[in-house]
Amino acid sequence: MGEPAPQLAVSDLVLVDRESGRVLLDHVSLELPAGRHVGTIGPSGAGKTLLARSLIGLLPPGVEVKGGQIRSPVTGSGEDAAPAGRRLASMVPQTPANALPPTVPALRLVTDVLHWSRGYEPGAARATATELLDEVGIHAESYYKRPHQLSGGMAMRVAIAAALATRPWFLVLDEPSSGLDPIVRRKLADLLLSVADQASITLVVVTHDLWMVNHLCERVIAVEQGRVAADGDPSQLASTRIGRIAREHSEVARQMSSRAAASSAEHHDAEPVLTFEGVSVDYTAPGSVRRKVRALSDVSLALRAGQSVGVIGPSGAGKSTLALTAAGLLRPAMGAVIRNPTRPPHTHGRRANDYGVRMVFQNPFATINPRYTVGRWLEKAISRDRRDGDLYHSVVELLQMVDLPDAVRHARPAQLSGGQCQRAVIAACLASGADVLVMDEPVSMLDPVARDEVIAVLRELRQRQRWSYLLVSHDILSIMQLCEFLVVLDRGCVVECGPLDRIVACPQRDITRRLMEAYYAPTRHHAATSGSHEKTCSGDSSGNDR
Amino acid sequence: MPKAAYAILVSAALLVAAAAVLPAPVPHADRILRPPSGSAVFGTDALGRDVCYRTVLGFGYTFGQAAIVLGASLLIGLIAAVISALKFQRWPDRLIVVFAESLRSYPALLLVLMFAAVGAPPIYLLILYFWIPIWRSFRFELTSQQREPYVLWMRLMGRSGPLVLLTEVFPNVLPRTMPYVVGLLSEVIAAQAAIEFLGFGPDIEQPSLGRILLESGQVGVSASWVWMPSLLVLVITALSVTWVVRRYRRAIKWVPIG
Repeated sequence: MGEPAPQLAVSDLVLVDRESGRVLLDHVSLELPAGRHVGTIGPSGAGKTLLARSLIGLLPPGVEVKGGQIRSPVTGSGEDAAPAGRRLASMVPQTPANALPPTVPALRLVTDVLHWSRGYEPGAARATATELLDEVGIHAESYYKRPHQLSGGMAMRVAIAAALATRPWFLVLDEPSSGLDPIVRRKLADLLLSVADQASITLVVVTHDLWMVNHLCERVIAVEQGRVAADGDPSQLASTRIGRIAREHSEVARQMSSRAAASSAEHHDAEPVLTFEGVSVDYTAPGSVRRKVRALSDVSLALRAGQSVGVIGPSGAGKSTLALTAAGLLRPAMGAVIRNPTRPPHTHGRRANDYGVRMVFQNPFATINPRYTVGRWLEKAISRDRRDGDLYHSVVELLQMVDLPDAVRHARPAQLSGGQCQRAVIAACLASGADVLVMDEPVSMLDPVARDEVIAVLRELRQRQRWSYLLVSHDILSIMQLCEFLVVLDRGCVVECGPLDRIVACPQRDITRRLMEAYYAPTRHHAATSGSHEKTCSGDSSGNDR
Repeated sequence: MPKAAYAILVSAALLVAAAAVLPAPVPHADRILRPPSGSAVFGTDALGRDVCYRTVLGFGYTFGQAAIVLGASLLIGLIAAVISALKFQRWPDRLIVVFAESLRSYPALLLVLMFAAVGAPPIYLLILYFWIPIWRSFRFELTSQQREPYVLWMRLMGRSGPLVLLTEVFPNVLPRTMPYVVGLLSEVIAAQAAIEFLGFGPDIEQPSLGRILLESGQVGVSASWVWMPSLLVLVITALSVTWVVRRYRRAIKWVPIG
């Protein structure tokens, strides 16, 4: 390298929220020397992102340093300055499409960064920018696209190219795999490793995604309640709660991939509660009044009572459209969706348009009206035929059924954790007499601990309530834990459909195979220690590090 | 909200009431253009009328008219916004959009002159003008909230669109949008005063801030006691409204129900 490697450091740092006085980081001391990729994991709100931001001196407004010191050179308070010619750190935020300038095309953005941060002449900046964009997989046809014209994965790549243009020692990535399908996630992880190795960049990854951490990082810092709970290489986390969860996930995936397709036939005789008959859904094309874009094309499937169907597919395949159409929030352009024919509206205390289909959305905080306490919201959700009893005790009972304490009744959504909030939403599904739950990425916003709590509640209630699930997710593991049937969507069409264990063990279509391969791909550390394993249709699989 | 904010609102209401019931000041030929003194705190104007008394009555009148304009605009804007939200991007919404945008494209002065030509009270013009920003603000909030999961959730429970809009969305939107509406008050007062200054508006006997400023033009800049109080009242009103809005914004929090 030829340049002295700097380090990011904080000592005894105490950060507080200026308005509420709440302690956000509590006496944290940490040193990150350049050279070892680092992952920070922990529950939502634990202070992972704040720790990463404080290391690079990028504190958000409203946060105050109450004690200790940020010793990274970027703040100017360190003893040594950042070495010349390279920036100390760059950051790629969680939703890069929102963070990129909305009117600036990709090529101009990277060119401008090179010009302003490193003083490149326009011609040289443009040439280097094209090289950088090619390096991250953005090719000539996308050079002039603006952020809203890019997919989530492409926007992430452009943001990474812009960050690389500053030639940083450290690249902080906040939830880089959020919302990405397994194929794109795998590609992104490999890309990050390759560019980091080429340019001697140290990655600092803030994530809930244990696969990303295992794949990318040589050092993992677990943050809990504003404190560093564990710090070491990934294997040293085995004794922590997150480490145990990772092992359990790995076990579930391994069992699923080797299980014979035998257990899926038990619901075949049950009556269908949700039927798609040749359903097509169109959206109005952006910038046009009349031109339509087909999001779902001739989809036919049936969900029977007590059955759970998982839906996977690459980004843009039409999964969320399928979920919204199933719930009745989108109207099909062709075909018909038949909901709950045996328990129609007007029965069981339901209103005229209530088919007993409920939806669990990705963002649990936005599902509960922010004006209400959880208790009040649940009271509103309680169906008419259950309103005769004592509402107070009904709410307490509902909360108990989803393992929530009574005190949650008085809390508003913003005062709950993501997992608690999602369980409150499930309690509302119980309250309103749901028969079918359509779930769109219900655990993707949650940390591993909260995620497992929600999955456990869903599994238990499914047994008890005989609920049917239609689960749309990029997270194949949660589908494995909840569903016995799988639908694979690609470009709005059902390309594969059948028992989950059969498809996982022996995918028939190329897109399914690629999704499964990306999901089961060994992390680089695992591959280094045990060698890479090819998954075969005989059901053998190994190497999943979840 | 702090007590001072309530005090400002109550004082304004009292002045409006005073302007409605108190008689107009009587001209006195023997005390024309007298500077401030013990008998007339702000002096007298070109007709010998007490400037202080006229300013109080003028403020009451102008403020009262502005409050009526804002109230009527709020009502119309809200109804239009609810229609727009319920029929978003369908013909009722498009019709309102086209009407509002074409109305806003006319220069304000041209509309004032057109209204004066047909003898319509300028208050109608102000209402016609000020419902648009209110509609626009509520329309944006209502339509963006309607895509929120908590709204979709209520719709899945079989509740009708209008019911969800009124019971779930509207109470969330109101506290966020009202500071903007209240903030419009200073703009409406300024517009009302400007119309009065142009000579349209109340009877010649009725004191109003714009008319006081208009009449003070005849006595010249040197008799500053005639026009200065009205000008100061306009500035102080604008600052007070801004201050009340800021306090209101800080004070509003989600009030838990249940």
